[in-house]
Amino acid sequence: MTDIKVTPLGAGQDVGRSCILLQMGGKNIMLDCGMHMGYNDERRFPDFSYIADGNLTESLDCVIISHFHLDHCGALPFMTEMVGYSGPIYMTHPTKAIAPILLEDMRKVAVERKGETNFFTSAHIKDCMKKVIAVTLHQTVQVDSEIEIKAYYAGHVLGAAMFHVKVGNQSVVYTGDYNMTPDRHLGAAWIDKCRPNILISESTYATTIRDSKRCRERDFLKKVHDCVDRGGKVLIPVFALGRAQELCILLETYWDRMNLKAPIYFAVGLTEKANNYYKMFITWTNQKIRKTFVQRNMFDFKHIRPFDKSYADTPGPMVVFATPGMLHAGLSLQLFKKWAPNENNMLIMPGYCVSGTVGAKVLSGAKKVETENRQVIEVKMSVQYMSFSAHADAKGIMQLIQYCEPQNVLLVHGEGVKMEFLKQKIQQEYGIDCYMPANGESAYIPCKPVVPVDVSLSLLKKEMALYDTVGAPDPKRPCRMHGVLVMKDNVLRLMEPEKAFGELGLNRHAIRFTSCLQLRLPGSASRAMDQIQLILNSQNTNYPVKPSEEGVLNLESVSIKMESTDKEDRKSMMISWALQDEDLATWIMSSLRQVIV
Amino acid sequence: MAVLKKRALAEYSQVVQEEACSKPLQLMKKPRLSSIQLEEELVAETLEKLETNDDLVAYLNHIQRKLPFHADDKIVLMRKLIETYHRSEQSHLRLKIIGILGDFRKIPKFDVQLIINEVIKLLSMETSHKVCASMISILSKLGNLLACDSPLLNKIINIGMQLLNNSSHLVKCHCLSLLGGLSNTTNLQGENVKHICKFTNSQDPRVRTAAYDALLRLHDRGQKLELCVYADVCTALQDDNENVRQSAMRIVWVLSHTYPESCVMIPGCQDEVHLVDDAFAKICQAIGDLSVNVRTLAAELLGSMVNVNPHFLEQTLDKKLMSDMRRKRSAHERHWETVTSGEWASGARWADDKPRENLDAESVSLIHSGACGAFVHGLEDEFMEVRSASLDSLCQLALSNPRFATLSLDFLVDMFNDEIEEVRLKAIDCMTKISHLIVLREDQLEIILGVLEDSNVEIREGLHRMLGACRLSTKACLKICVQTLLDNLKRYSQDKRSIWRCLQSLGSSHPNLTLLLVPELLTVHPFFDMPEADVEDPSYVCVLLLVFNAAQFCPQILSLFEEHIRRHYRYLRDTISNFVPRLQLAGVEEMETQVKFDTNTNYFLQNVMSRLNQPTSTNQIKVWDAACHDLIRLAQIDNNLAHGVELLATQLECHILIAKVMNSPAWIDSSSLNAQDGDVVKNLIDQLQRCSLRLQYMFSNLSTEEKLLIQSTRLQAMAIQLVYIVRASNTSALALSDHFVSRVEALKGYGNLPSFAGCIVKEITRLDDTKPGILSRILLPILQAHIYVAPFCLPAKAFKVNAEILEPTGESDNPQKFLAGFVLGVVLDAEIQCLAHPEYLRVRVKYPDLNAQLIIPQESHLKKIKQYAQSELNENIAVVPEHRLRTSVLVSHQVWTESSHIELSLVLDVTEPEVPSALKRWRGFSEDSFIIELCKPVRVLVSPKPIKRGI
Repeated sequence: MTDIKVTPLGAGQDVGRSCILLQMGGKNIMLDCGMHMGYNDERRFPDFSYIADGNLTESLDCVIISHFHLDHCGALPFMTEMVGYSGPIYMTHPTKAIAPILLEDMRKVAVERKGETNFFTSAHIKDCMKKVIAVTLHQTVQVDSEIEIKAYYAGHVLGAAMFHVKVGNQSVVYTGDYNMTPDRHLGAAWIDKCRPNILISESTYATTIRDSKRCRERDFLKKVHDCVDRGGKVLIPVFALGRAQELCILLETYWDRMNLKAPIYFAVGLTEKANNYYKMFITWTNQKIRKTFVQRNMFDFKHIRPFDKSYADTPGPMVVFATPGMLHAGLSLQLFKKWAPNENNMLIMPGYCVSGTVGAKVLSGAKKVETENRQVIEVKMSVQYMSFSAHADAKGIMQLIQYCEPQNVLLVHGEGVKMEFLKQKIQQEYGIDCYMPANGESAYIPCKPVVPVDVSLSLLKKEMALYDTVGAPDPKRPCRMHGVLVMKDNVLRLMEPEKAFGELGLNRHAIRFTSCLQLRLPGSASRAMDQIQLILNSQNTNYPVKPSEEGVLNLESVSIKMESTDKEDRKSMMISWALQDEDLATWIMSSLRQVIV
Repeated sequence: MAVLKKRALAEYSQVVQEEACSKPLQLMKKPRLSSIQLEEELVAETLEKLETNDDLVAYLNHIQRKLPFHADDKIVLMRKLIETYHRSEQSHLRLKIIGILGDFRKIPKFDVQLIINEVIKLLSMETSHKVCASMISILSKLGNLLACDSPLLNKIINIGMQLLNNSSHLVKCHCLSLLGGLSNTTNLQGENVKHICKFTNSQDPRVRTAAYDALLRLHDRGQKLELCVYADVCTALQDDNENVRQSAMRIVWVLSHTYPESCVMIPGCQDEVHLVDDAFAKICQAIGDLSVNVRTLAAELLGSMVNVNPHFLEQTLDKKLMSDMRRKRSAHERHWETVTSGEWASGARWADDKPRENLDAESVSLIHSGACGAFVHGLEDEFMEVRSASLDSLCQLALSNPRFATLSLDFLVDMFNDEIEEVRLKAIDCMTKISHLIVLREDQLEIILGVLEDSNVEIREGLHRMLGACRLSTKACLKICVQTLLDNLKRYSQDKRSIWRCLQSLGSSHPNLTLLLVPELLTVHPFFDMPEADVEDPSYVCVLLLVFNAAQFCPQILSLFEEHIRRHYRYLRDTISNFVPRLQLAGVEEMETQVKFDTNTNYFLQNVMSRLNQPTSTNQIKVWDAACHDLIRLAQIDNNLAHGVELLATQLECHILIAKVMNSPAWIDSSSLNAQDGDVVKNLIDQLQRCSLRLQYMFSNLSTEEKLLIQSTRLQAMAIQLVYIVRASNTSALALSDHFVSRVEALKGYGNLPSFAGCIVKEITRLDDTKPGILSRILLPILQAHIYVAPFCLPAKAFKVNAEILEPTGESDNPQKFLAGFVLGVVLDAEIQCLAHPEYLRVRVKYPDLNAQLIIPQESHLKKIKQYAQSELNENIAVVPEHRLRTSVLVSHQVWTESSHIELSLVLDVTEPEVPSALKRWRGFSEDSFIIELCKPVRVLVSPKPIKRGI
């Protein structure tokens, strides 16, 4: 019962198709529901039959989507509309706004270009989005009586969030994709010390430590500036959302600062729609944009204009952002064909290219590139590679672990070999367990059972006041609490004795023990008392010894009284104590015996 | 207690009665309150009359506002307040009363011990934690006023100790801060500190923070903290609460300064490190903290740990890079390699950052142990506060460690590209500060020079300053530097002066490199005569400035000069003399005369001074007049003495005016004279006022005696005006005389006043009644006795405020057009030297219809210029504080038929300090008598156009 079970349906020792099933405290939660971009058959969607044959709604309590990238939310309409799930889905507001645009775009490509059938429709996407419940950062959402979720900022793209999921006493943090270094439009991921049982972290860059961002940015800007200065054209192939906005901001501010006049174009498409959302969700961006948006919204680009096909042949310098990012089709390829033969021009690849694409060939230094219709392009333009990636590197992952202090770490969304290294490091440097299940494999994470007990506030306050009055706080001094543990209606409660008795309708009885010790002590009884007090004081620092008026010493509930007997040096010492101070009394007796008797 | 209860009960029943009453009573409430506020004298009695709590609160607020008052029955009031305290059941009332009692300390000469004793008495009975806490905080405030050996102080401390065991965190916190602030640091050792230390283990983070803060406070007051707390404090750096982490970090920092040399064991191995190094590493780790505040603090503290081991220091800039388990070099390293190998970037360099050797998985440490990469992280932080604090610290550390400075250079240059302008500016400033420690390489310079294209003036000017201060390694460096500066000038012609200054210092700090470039720069050819360049061409002037300034340290350059260059030298030396040094060029004798002349001025000045200080003669005014002329001329000739001499001349002018006024028969007697004489006197007095104001506000950097002398002269001017108003006019002088008296009172505290001021102060203190009539009767003889008594001195170090409007230049013939009734922003760029009172600076706009407007420039537009470069170059000259005003003056007017000039000028508006509110409506002053002009007005052609309708 106390184990937490995590089963990746996708993204287990793999990148793409993030979909993780989390079972804890008798609840089933699905984290992300992505698709794999590399496959065109049924493998692109997670295997939902693993969860339940038939009714997903019954077996899943909720679905949480971390951000709008398709490998994290691409399978959502398929799951809700075609497989059938009508339970709650949670995502942040920007994700809810932008995800349908991307889904629709993907659907178009799949259905209209590739001619696929049996794919979800626009109506499906719409219906799916109606089921989504949007959450705000740091807002605690009660899914049902037991599940509680809370979103934290993750940086990666606009609206990306990490989720803290809590069921009963157990909790899990799922990071989605995150970035620990701030960039030009987003801040760094942040989480508080929530000490979850498990941290499920992405590990794309498990074996990389990155250089400072500024160098790369400066290089990028300088290259673009130089090229524009000598009248060349700069082509930057990008994917529509995410990095493109960062580069836009970067160039826009640089153009502003340097007072440059060369035009920057952005190939329109779904970007324009998305840009509107970027303008709206200012609170999700970084410090600079948030602080200056009153004067000017940074996403209201001054220098960046929409691109028109006719501009491609205009003479003079220009910078063009064009999709797609790997130069395999579309506008970016057309422009590349046009501009490649001129050595004044420049191509900047801001991201990774899959092998086989024109982009990959060019990057590997090919001077002649053949395109689909046997056309050979001579590449004379200079080609630059600039990596602008928004995942946390190894140091960042470690930092996040340090921030939230989990008891276990579970790695997903990365290559198995790399994970192995990071796993070792985590175990070695933090001494905590680390798991990395493959797809379809379940990881059982044992958790110590915790029994919660409700303590009545007045009891707590009373005991605390007692503790406070004794003296300065001392971490070594035990602090005992006197109360009655009551089990009722499956709930444990610690109550004040009086109240408990009152509730039970019983009278309270106290047990006191008394004992008599024969001591050999010279002098009068009061002197002997002083002596005993001295001895006790010297040995015992935790409990103050309080003498009362009638020659009685009090320690907690223990009271000591001395009586002279007939013989001169013989005294009988009477000790009486209540049940709860049994230990103390035994200790006093034994120590007095050692010293005096 | 019984009495208390009875009272409370009585009060309660009264209130019930009132509420039972019908409406009229409730309506009465408002007027009664206002009437209370009026009768200030009946303070004590009214307290008892107030029945409802709201009234009481309102009245208590009223009392607090009135504090400190001068009522006689303060003690009675206190007693009444305490009685009310006992009566009030609600804790917020008691809180208020305690607050008022605490404020009693503001009353001068009030018996603090009395309040303390009362508060202690009340404290013993108080049950509310909030009230208790506020009492303790008041006790600690009052305790500060006691002598350090007072027995009462010990009593307060004991109370603080006892109440530490209170169950409320608030009380504990206040007790801790009381102990921190009052504990005797000299004789009572350790005991208190140990007790406070125990509370750093408290379960409440607020108490923990307070305990650490108390320790810090003790340290500030001279109690040495013990080394043994170090280990505990270090664990507190991992505390869950960010405030605790901050306070603990401060203590770690303090300890690292107190015991830098003692050794600390590294857990896990046998090595020992110095405490300062260990602390440094710990604070470095905090740069990766969860909370922004902690990160900022960590970044701030790092800067002052200059005695840390250089090895640790260098680690802060080191971050091991890797990619797929292989070691990767950072961009900086790569760059450096391309430079040293002599290769240059040649187009495509895909994968030039490809990882090199494989890394051993075991050897890679992912959590930054120690100081590793602290600054790399700090400079990359999400928040500007952390970044700019890191920059400051980096700069501070670099200043004390040249090797570190060289290492940090690349990072500073990277920061030039920050997204926030303030940070970019700060990076440039930091670079300027450390520029004397580093030598710039060509590749680094290239990156830096790229920033010169920035459209922000301040960034460019900052960079000019930086370039002026830095050291370049090769001839090629200097060449691209000059080249880029010339490009910069072409692009932004308004940078002319700043670029000139930059080239001036570049030249004088790199004479030998310049020598190599001279033929190229001046296009000197061994065989051919090249065409002569135009001396009005700004970029040619730039080059000349560089060469001339280099030539003063490298005489070989002189021999390369051709005839036309010599001519240009003479021309420039005349027109922009402060940019062109004196060269030993063809006219050696010119140099010598200059030297002789210098000694002459001093002699001449002494001559004038001795003439001034001679006993009075019959035609004293003429003597002064002559001296005044001499001085004014002298100020124009000799730059070194100008400021002081001008001060002297102004003072002299005042006294001449004083003498003139006093000698004219009309000034105290309006009946016997004709109107013309009256006007003359009035004008003279007016002139005197202005002159004395100039004297008072235009000069700074004076000694106390000199200031007093000036004050005395001003007082004399005011006295003359006062007497004139009383005797020769029929306006009321009541406010004026009050103002005069307050001025005299302000002088009371000073010893050895100048004779006039001394006499006045003595007389005024003797006076009970300061009615204008009486005052003038006393003033008159003193004034007459002091007509010619004016001791003069020459304040050699004085600065005179001086402004120059750089833009607009006033030369443009193109009118600036705008729609009538709307506003036009005229860009104003001005340099102001020695501005002692920036708060009085105004921009005056004069319209052709003689309307004038005073505009207060925005605070952020007036910037103090930091001067590192100049103070280093010529140390013997005192650094003149300089301000730069760059703002846009808003101009607006109704339609004009044609364009016309408006006049912009910078002025000081001293109305605020000189005219008290009582005098605001007084008509005796002419409109602009309290405005001091700082520079000649600049004319700008504007033309407001009518709004076109119906298009």
